[in-house]
Amino acid sequence: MGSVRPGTTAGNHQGLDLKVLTRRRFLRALASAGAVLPLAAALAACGGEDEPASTTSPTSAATASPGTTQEAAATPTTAGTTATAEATGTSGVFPVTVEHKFGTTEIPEEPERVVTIGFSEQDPVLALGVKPVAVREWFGNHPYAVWPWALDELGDAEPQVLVMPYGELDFETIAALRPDVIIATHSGITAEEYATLSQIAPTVAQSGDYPDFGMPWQEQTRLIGRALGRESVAEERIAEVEAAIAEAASAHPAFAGATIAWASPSDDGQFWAVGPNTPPMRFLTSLGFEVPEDLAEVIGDLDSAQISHEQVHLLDTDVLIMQVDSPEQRSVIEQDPLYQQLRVSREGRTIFFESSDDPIYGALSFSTVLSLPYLVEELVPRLAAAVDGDPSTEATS
Amino acid sequence: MSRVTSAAPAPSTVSHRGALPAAKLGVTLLLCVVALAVVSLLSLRVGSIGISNSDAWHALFHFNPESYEQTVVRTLRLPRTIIGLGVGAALAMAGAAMQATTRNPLAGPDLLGVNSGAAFGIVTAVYYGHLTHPLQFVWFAFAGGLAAAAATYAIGSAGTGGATPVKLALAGVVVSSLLSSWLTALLLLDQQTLEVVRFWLAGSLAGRDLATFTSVLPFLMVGLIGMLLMGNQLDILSMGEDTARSLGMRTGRVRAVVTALVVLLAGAAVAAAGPIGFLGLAVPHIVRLITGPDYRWTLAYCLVVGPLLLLSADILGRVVARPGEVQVGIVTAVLGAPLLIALARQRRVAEL
Repeated sequence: MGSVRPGTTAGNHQGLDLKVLTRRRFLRALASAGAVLPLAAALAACGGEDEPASTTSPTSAATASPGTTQEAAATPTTAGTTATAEATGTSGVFPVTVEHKFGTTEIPEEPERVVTIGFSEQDPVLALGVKPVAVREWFGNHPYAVWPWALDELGDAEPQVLVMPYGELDFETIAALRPDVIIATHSGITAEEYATLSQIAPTVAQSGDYPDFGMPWQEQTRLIGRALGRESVAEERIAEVEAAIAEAASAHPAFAGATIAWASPSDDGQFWAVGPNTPPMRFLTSLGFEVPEDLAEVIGDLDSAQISHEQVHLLDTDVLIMQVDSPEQRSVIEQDPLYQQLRVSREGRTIFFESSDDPIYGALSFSTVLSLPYLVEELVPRLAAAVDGDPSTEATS
Repeated sequence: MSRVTSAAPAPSTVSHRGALPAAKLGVTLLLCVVALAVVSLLSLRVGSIGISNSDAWHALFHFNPESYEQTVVRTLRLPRTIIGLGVGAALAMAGAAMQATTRNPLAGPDLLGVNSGAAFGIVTAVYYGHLTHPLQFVWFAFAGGLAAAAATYAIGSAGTGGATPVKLALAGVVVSSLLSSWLTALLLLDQQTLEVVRFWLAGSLAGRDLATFTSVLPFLMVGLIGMLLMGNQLDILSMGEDTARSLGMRTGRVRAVVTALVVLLAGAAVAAAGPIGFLGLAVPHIVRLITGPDYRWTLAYCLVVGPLLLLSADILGRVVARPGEVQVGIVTAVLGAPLLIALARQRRVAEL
């Protein structure tokens, strides 16, 4: 739950040492164990523009815990698992140049060893038919950091899992992978990190047109497609997914104009609410939903904002997605007298995710070209059950 | 009071400055009580949503559960105000007592290990005992606080010269950092413990269970009343070990009683609200600007000024970061640090 407000992490006087240290560390532990708060998870470290890396990164969390995935995936991948030019006709397009936040990168020839250091880029790379040699763990502790929706595309590939908290790139490990290209569009890297990475291999950073972690999935897929010489495959996949989303939207006219919010409880009874300019909220709005104006106003340009318990009425939408850490935390919310006054509560309009292990929650956090079709299958029926305002249709599994 | 100040080691001219005669001290204390009443009402009125006077009034006396505003007052603002009153008084009095017994202007429940001990007690109980509710683990806050205070005194009293202020402060730092690192280690080891205590570790008046507070309230009351009765002894103790002994005081016994009361106060405060720094350190200094070194008055003022400042800080935290709120522990640190620096630049801060 990267705090987007610098004030909330201020104060390092001795009297507060215990709290500050503990909070910082447990946030990491939290994420490492996969219990990332939604914002955290969804927003990959809440790319608040000038937020120092260490405190905010939900994503960052990854290393503090005993890295089971790391061991599981430690098997060195055999070289050349990357796709070659077979049947894709990519050999003719190189060298290619791509533009991003930190300038232009030239990729001289078709890369064989692709390393992704963005937190969700295993998906778009796999979707393009390329098997990365190494990927970065975000949360979930799945083998090869690949979630269920991408297993078909993964096939028998065994990418190494890089467990690196946000802001703590392990350049030596990356260099030892001898990458031909480094994909970092969902990594939130800084100019300095980009410069270092570029000395290792041509690096594709995030777009400068959006906040870090705020790139739409289409743009991300396109950028990676261009870098890997697979623009036409990228366009095909994008068109397929957009069609599936459009179909779901037209099959559910009730979504159109209905308001939606995504929140999770924060410390001391407050809530984090996810902002409209994030991939997950963009997906929900592409289904026809809208973020209510008063909520959008308080979140502003941030990817998420903290709202006080007293303002829980801002979450009184037609559909509310609420991410909690446990069934107990869910019942705390459900028994809250203020929450009980909301229409979302009375009319069964809340979708609860009780754990960050829930693959639907994971898919929404990722919101990639591969996870979105999964969401269309799995989340859309729940959205439909929630938006009807009939408590007897259970919105939460 | 005159006896105390004349016997105090500090130059009496300086100690007297700012101290008012008893009658004026009484009137000023009454004014502080009025101010506290006003701030308590503000605490019901002011926050991230607007509450009208009539809604606040109805929430207290003719509560309508259908009203969103009244529910806010009743279920959120009233509990945090009540908890703030108790916790503020407890921390301020515990701090004043610590400063007197250790003769250390930098003493406070947090610096002498009591707060970290209480936090460590809770986290240990959750980790090994798999407790899940604050009502179950408040007792471990007391146990941890007591153990930490005992350890600090044991370490600080070792060697020649007994428990000097400097040795006690160093011992407190050692115990605190040790406990903090153990606590961090436990939290890193175990995700579930983290889940249970995460909300509590934030150090806040918001999102707290009033039932937890009421369960520690008896201990808090014993601590507050007991400490108020110790004013005379603290006066004598703050003159130093030798002076106190020569006046016939059994210093060991008094120290033990005061320490037990401090543990009751700080343990109850930590159990009810989580760790809140600075208040126990700063309030006694502010209060002494008015009262001078007379501990009977200092403690009475702490009882009122502690909650006054804590609630004010809490109200400030509700409005500075709308639509979110800043935890009160952070506000007290941000406001307390410059205040303390200003105080430290004056000589009288060191005179206890």
